[in-house]
Amino acid sequence: MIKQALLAEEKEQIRLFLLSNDLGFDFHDDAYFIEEDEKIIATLSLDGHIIKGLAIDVHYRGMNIAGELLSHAIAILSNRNLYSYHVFTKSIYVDLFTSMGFRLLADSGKVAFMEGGVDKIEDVILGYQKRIENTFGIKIKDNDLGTIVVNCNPMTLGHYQLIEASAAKHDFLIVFVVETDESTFTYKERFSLVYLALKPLNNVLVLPSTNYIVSKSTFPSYFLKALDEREYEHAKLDALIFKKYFMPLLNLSMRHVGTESEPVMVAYNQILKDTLGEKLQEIPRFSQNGVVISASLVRRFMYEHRIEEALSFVPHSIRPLLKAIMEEKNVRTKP
Amino acid sequence: MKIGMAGSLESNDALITVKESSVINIEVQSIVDAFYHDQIVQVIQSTLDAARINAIDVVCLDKGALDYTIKARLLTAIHRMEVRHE
Repeated sequence: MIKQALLAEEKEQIRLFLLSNDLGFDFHDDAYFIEEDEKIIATLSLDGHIIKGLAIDVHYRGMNIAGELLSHAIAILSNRNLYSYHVFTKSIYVDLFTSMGFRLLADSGKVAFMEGGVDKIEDVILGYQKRIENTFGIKIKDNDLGTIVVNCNPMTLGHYQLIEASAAKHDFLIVFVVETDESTFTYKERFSLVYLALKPLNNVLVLPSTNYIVSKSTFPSYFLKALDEREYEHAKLDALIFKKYFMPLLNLSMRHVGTESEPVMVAYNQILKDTLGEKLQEIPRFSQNGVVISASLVRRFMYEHRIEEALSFVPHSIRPLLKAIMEEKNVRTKP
Repeated sequence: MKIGMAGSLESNDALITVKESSVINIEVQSIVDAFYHDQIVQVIQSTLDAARINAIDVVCLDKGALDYTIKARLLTAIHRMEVRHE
């Protein structure tokens, strides 16, 4: 019988079981397990629409316990009105999930990213293709399109100049704004600011990043123990999906990135470079009066209540909106 | 979007997902694909015919279900699709 782990000690047991299977565990996830003689023999976890942490005790394999757990998971998800799911799993389980109707999107050699259910990545991207063609009144195959993926937390003059410089190199530029809400500014705030700031650029289209690009929800932090190795594998899957689906289906010839100074972002850029090769171009960051403009700089001024100084680093067109958002945030964060 | 689902991925069962469509589209993946793929498609098609449904998208993940299991799962999935979205 499948049970849900509700007690802390049950979750601790699952953590140990997963550890013995070389997997990590996140206590926030909904975890399900099967016991035999009061010992865990199989587990699976859910985090939103993401299925992960599947492990079966070596003595109980070949009995389709995975099918039982996955059926349970799919029933729970459909009760929550979720009919599209993503899977993070070790590469060795790819065949198992494939036999359950899941489709492989990317495999780094260590970990794999798969999808199942109703939505298909191709459909999502083809939807974007239509949107791009309708917006600009073009056929994408006849034009040179570039792309850039930004978080913009918040939008700065640095971002603007980077996007302006990238847009100048192509007929059209597609800007993807990261949808995952893990930043100081919410996705809606970030998207609105980017949209507003880029309005003057006629050959630029701003789109949501979907679940498939730099989505923190699809890069769970459970399957490899070392942080660096884990980040590395996540980033690799992200780069592979972008290369395999977004670039060919949207006819994107080049992805641009700004040079980075933070170690994680430097590593991410390097992985993108390794994966995309010549289709990745790094553009140096812009400075203003000798100061390199970055979103972290703007946030620091905001937290120090030096809003006017913070706003001096962002495009004029978004200053009134950003000011209002910042003031609201500072009111909320006051002790 | 109207979606309905029934069944499971356990042995001798099938997981059937149906959703709205403007045409009939049947997708079957089975552990006995080599032997029974066409027959499963046929069971689904005739069940749809009997229910007078001429536009639907059906995805069937089969784990060795018998014909009447597939038929029952399909009809339940269609029923759930209609009920949930009434």
